[in-house]
Order: sequence, then structure tokens, then C-alpha cells
Amino acid sequence: MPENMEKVYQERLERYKTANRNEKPDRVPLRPFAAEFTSKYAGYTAQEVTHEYEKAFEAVRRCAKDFQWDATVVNMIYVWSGLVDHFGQKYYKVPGIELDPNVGFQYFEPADEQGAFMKEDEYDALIESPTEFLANVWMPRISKYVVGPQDSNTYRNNMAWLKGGLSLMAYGGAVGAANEKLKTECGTVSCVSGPIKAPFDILADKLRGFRQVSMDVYRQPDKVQKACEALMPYLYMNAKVAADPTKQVPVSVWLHRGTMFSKDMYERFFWPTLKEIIIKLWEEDDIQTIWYAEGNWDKWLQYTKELPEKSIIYHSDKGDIFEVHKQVGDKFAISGGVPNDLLAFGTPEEVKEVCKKLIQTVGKDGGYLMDAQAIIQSDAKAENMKAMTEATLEYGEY
Amino acid sequence: MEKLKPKPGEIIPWEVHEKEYENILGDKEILKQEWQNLEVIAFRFIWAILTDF
Repeated sequence: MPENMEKVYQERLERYKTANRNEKPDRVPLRPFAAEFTSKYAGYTAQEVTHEYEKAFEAVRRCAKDFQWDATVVNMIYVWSGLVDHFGQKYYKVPGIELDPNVGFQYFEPADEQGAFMKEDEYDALIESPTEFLANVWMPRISKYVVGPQDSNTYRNNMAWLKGGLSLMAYGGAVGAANEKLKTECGTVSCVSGPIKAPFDILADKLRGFRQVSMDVYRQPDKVQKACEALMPYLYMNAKVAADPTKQVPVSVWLHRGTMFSKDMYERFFWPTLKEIIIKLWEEDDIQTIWYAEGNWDKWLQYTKELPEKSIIYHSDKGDIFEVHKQVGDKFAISGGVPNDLLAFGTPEEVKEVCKKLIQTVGKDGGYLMDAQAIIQSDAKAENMKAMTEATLEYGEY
Repeated sequence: MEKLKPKPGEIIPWEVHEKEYENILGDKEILKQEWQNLEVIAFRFIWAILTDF
């Protein structure tokens, strides 16, 4: 790596780490979470970046260089459809197969009991042994090829396990190499490592489906609660083993269904087990979490406040970022705030004004990271992304 | 079917696998360490399909 690139990288890493700790760096870091915007900018179709991960990595590097990003996700198009093809997941619609090559991948959640990947009477089996339940019951339902222990074995089943495992190994190795290239070619920090999901979100997203779990919380609430408690230590370990071993960059939790339930239900089903995962990662492993609050999580700020100081970086999507700053800005760093519709339909001047206001209010004492409200898609204009960079460089120095 | 009930970070507990050896003439800890190293990766595969893919 050229000496000056190493220097740039070290400066950016320090800037990123300092802001994440809710302290004042030399300047507000630019840390966009950008998905299909990168591929459009680099001239690739959604099919190309979803299926050929080296193109996805390269598209991110193009943007990181051109927009001077301090830190970013090495590939925000997180589903590599090659693995989906090899292991046979049924719940994705993939660009170039079921979708137009220029449309991003889509997740199709089961809408009824018949389609649910976990049935209403299977809570006990999940609670008794979560990993075995996933391997023996859930995977045969979500994969075209995998069969359960009660079925006759098949060649395609054996090969799906083989190719699924090899795919993940190959992808993991490629991500490591891409992180290094992002560092040496762009001086940009790969900003996030392992994933966390709230146990309740796993039930709602991938196991029962939202409609089914919405009935379960009334019909069998004790089992829903016990299932969240049973999943908790596994989801904690899953995040821990995938986290950055040097502990320099955080893991992230992608928050989904917690805002769609009442206070009582949030308190009972969603919050306790998620809180425990985040606290364990922070107190036992020294790992921070990006609290990626998809939607508007302002009504639960009183709970988020219970987390230890500096344990999370609060990413505000549709919430009121100024209210978030008022309520939790003394405890946690905050990111986000630039509306995605402004990046798509606004002017560079309007983008710069919003960025300036964010820096001068949310970021006035440090602990702020510049980003859009939500993951940046192909509708964002390049000139507006450039304006976000220019405003950060112009107004963001301390 | 008997459940193995793997803990977080494992898919086939060492205690189950250990009983499958007829005899161990050398250092059992070497076998255990290698077994558990790959267990974590295999655990991550199962749970990565659930959480990442």
C-alpha cells in the first residue's frame, strides 16, 4: 500500500472509531450504507452485482474513491445470489431470474400458516434445540434441495449442503480480500462486521412470518417468549463469531418488527432478549453495535436509553434525528438523517443545506456520522451524493 | 430421534463425538481442539443462512 494511502486509512479509521465512541474526531466521518447506488454508478446491472460479488466489491471501491468515503460497507447488496442458487433458498426473488436484471433482490415472506417455514405447533421443538430445528425442519422447508431426516436422502440434498458450505467459505474469503482492497486502494474503512437480529425479528421474518407471529403473541404468548429466550444465546454467538476480531468496527442489528407492536408486547417479546445480546457483546466482548433503526423507533427511545453508554451507534431512519439526539445523544453516537427522497429528487444545494444542519446540531459536539436515512438505492443521484461529501468536508471539521 | 441439543457455537457436541472413538491412544485435547475449531465455522453456516441469507 502506498505510504500516503496507509496514512489516509489510519486517519479515517481513527475518525470513525472516535465518532462511534461518541467523541469528537477531527471531522464528521462520511459513512454511507450504499447498495444499488454503487452498482448504478459503476455501470453494472443489479443482476451483475447480486450474482458476481467481485463486481459488487469493485462498485463500492469506485464510489469510495470518487466520493471520499471514510468508511462504508464492503458490499451492502448483502445477499449473494450464487449462494442462494447453490443452497436453493426459496424465499428470494433474484434479479435476472424472477426479476428484471435491473431490480434489486426481494425477500418473500410467507403470508399464511400453510406457507410458514415454522408451523404454529413447532415452538417446543425450536425451544428444545434451535440449531437442530433449523437444520432438520427449517432448512428442508426453505431450500429446494435439502431434505429432512424423515425423508429419503437425495444426491441433490448432499450436494446442497456441500455447495452451501463451500459457497459461504468462498464468499467469506472474498469479503476479507475486498476489505483489504478497500483499505489499500481507497483508504476506506470496512465499517461493519457481524450481524445481529433480534430474536423476535427472526421469528417474524424467517420462521413464522409476521402475520402468523402476530396471532401467536395472543394465542401462545408464553411460547413466543420462550422461543425468543431460546434463540438469544445462539444469535449472540452468531454475532460474536462473525465480529471483527480486532474489535475496531461494530456489528450491526437490523431492526424490523419492534415498532409494530404495543408497549406491553415490546417489553415482553422484543426488548429483553435483544437488550441482553447487545449488553453481552459490549460488556463481555468489547463489541459495539450499530442500532440500525429501520422505520421510526422514536417511541422506544426510553428503552434504548437503558443500554450502556457507547454500546451502540444509533442510526436514525424515519425517526426525528434531532429528537433522537436530544434524548440519547449524551450516551450514544448517532448516524443518518439525510432523506433518501432528497438524494433521489432534490438538488445538490438542498442536500448541502440538510447536511450542514445535521452537522451543526446533531454533530455539534462530535459523535455524529454522515449517512442517508436508509440504505442508498439506485434512485440516488450522483450529484447529490457528491453534495453530501462536499458539505461534510466543508462544514464537518471541528 | 435422539436430540443432540448443540449449544451455541457447536453443531455436534464434542461429548457426543468423543464417544464415537473406539480408543484414543494419543492426546485427546488435540482432537477436541480441532473438532471444536470447525464446529464454530459449521455453526456459523447454519445461523448465517438464517440471519444473513
